Amino acid sequence: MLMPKRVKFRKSHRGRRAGAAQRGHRVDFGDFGLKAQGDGWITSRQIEACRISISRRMKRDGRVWIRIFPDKPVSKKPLETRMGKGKGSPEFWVAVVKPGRIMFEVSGVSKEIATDALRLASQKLPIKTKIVCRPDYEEA
Amino acid sequence: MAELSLNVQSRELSTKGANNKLRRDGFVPGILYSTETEPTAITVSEVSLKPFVYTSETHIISLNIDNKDSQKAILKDIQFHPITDRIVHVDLLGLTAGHKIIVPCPVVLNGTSKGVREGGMLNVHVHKLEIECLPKDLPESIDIDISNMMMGDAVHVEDLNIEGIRFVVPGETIIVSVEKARGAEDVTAEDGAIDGSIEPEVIAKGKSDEEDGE
Repeated sequence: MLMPKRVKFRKSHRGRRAGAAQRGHRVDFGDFGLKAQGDGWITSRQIEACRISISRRMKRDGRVWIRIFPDKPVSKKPLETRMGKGKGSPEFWVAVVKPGRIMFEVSGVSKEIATDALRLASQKLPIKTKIVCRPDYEEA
Repeated sequence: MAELSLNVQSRELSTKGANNKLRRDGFVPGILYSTETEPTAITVSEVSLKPFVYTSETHIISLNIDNKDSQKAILKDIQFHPITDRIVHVDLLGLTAGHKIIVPCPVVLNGTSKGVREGGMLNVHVHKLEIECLPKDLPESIDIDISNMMMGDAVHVEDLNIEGIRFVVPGETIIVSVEKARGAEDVTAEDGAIDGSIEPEVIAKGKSDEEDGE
């Protein structure tokens, strides 16, 4: 699963997710993309589940790009622990996603397969999404 | 190069509220500029603009400004809304005779490569190439014959030689390549850490476990 190799700090604040994505909101690499319509934290497990479902549907044909990276650690306190005594230990990694962000891109397959693969991936995510394509895309 | 006409209206109010009202009414605010004239704020109908935007072709646009003036231009830049993908703003560059322009030109691949027939995967790295040329030399597309490409072959920008055109991108930029298909790759596991419990290395400044006092 995706996670940083080195970090400056083990734990991070939760932060805010106001506004729309200011970058990464266009299909830049492939022909089709999965665009976030809401905001949320996408865990590395969810990203991996999406990648597997896209690859399986595309039968390892074509190419897949993952445009988000889980670089934010989320900490949790152990069960049945009283409050206080400091912040919990890091449990998993998330990518902060704002509305408009392209999360996955695919190319090298037909429109039907690409949209179906991205539809399957969207079912693994906790946010509303839509499937988009490059403005200048024309099917051969 | 296809030449199409487009009706535009000049606009006076350029405030955010006025532009948002235009967008609500089905228009797109934009700007027309060139090397010789002052920039003009314009408005164009979203419906009539779509054929120029949602296409792989580059057009020379014959502008009718307020049904009076006529000017040739190209679509220089388009801004989309990050969430809805609606067109928010357009930049039109007026053409001046004798002045070179930089425009993105679509890449068209002809034929089926031998490498793909042998089971390889065609990888298109760029769909459009930025070129510098005179408006009269502007090609409709950059055609590349890929029928002789074998597995492992790549077409670079420096391999293209079209008269009257200078490529803005570096010569070593790959346009298209034929690579080995992933085939036997394991779909279920990615290289590297599979277990999410592995913690990354902390660079100097971060608190160590002992200091945390959990």
